[in-house]
Amino acid sequence: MNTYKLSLLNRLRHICRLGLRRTLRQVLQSMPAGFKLLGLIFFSTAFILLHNIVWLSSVALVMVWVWLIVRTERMVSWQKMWPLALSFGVIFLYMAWVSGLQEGFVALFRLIALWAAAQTVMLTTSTTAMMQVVETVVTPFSKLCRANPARIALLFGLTIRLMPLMVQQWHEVREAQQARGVKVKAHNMLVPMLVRTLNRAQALTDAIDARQLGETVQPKIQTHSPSAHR
Amino acid sequence: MIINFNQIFLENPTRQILRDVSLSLTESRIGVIGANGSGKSTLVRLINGLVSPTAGSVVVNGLDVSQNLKLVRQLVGFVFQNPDNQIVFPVVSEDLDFGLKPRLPNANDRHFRIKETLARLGIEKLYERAVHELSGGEKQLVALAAVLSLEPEILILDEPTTQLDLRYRNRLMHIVSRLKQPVIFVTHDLDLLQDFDRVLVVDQGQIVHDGSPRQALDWYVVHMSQPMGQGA
Amino acid sequence: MTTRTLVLSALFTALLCALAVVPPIPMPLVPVPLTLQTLLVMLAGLVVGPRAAGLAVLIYVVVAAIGFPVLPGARGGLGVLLGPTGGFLVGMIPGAMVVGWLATRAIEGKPWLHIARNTLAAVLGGIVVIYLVGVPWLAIVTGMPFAKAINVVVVFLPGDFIKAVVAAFLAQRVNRFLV
Repeated sequence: MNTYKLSLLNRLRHICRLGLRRTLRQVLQSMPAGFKLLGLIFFSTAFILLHNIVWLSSVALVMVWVWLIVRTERMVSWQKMWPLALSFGVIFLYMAWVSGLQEGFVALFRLIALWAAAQTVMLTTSTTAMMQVVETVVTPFSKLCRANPARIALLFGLTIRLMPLMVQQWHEVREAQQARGVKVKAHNMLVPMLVRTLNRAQALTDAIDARQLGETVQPKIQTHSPSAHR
Repeated sequence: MIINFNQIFLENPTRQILRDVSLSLTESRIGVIGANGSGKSTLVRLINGLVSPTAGSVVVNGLDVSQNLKLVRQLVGFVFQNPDNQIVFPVVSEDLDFGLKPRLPNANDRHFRIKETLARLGIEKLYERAVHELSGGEKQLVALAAVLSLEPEILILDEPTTQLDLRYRNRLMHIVSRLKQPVIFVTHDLDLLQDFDRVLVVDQGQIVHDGSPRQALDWYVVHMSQPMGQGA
Repeated sequence: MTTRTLVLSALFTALLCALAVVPPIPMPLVPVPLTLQTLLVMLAGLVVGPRAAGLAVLIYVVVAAIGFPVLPGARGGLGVLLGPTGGFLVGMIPGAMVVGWLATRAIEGKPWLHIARNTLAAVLGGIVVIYLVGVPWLAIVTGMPFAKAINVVVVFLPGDFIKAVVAAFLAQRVNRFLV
């Protein structure tokens, strides 16, 4: 009897937690991205201004709890987290040494709260939604700089297109250096990388100009051309 | 098509790239051949205004290139040598779609045109593929598709096969032979121009021979087998 | 924005992102991103000028903010940007522009003068400007007293000076290659 009650209780708890997790995640995910980002900016400012250690530690705890709920991975991957934990630890120690233990904890809780809030926003916002926000924010600026939105889209697309190419270029340069018997160090790699990159720039510029990408194009005209058919 | 070069001179601070070039191009298949540094690539880049002459003018179908750059670029499609430096979006369909947006505001129209163009070149299965996963040959065909989807009236190809393996080189040449538009083809490989109507041989900034592919081959054998500085 | 600026900017953003992935040197301890990134930012300013370099770093920071792991050590996300090192990253944007602007001040004369000008540009933009943004940001976020924040970062100044000089020399070599 007792064990039955216990397992029922556990099951209820499990359902509640699941429900809470799902609800919270859904609520956060359905919030518009711009709203979340503004909220993040607001909360970040609030955390930074807050000095009361009780408040800060509670806020930090809440944020971490929210973050843990919103995560899709079950376990906290210690492998990924340890550099972060280490850097927070270093800052805590330094602050404690410089301004005293209380200040150390204030800094620590602030950092934790900030980081957990940011992670939560990232986990509940799709990349597409983020890019939309970027576009919305950038568009008025682009009008100021006389750059049309199509060019901005081209800029982003081209940047992403080029990333694997640059990695490939790095490998090519490294192989070329090794073949020449040159030790592979950063300063040996950078000049060839830059030269190749700048040469690529001219080719890409020509290709983009030839296709008139990102430009406003006049309605197509048919020129009077006696084309010879094969 | 009528492309006229009127007494073109082109120089930069270090050297003279083109010297007194006057041509009238009307044929359907025109080849341009020459060694590296001969000026052949510069010559065809004058047609769509990627370079400007120091003196003289280029007129394409009645349009002066220097005065009507946008219009000329609408009618002249240009395919370059390196497949990687022409495709600007990460996914094939994105790249073609972006280029078509100004011409075809309707997304469905664009979708149809892209599918049709890719199918014409036999690469319809590459529609959703990530560009950096493709082979060099596939990328070059995608680049060609991107240009052809804009329905240019004239097509220029600048050494499009130099970085391709034999299989894709043949495939590209086969596609080129079936194109409706007049084609200007730059290469250093005379073999590719056997079926062309006219071949221009460029050397040190001048047109040193202008005739049929057979004549060009004969000329080449006589003149280009000698060391630089001697002969024509 | 000319096509050339656009292309150069995209190329350098891609380079910055690629460099985060290729050499696996995570710098977890140091509150300052002491890396190849800052060297490349200085080089960008010296080689492509203020507009393209500034835009390149701006897009880089935006891409990092969106969450892609393009920061040194394959990190990314708003958490890093809002954290203690955020200022040193955001500061690279005006930093790159200052480097570029100074590097375009024409100088007649021997190559060593060019290198000197480049070094000055790299120091003013790549160090002074970046630290001007990074140090207050660090102080505010962690609550460190300003003087103490300066103490933390002073350790990295010698390394950064070396980077500035290296950048100046490399830029000279690159420019010679292309002219």
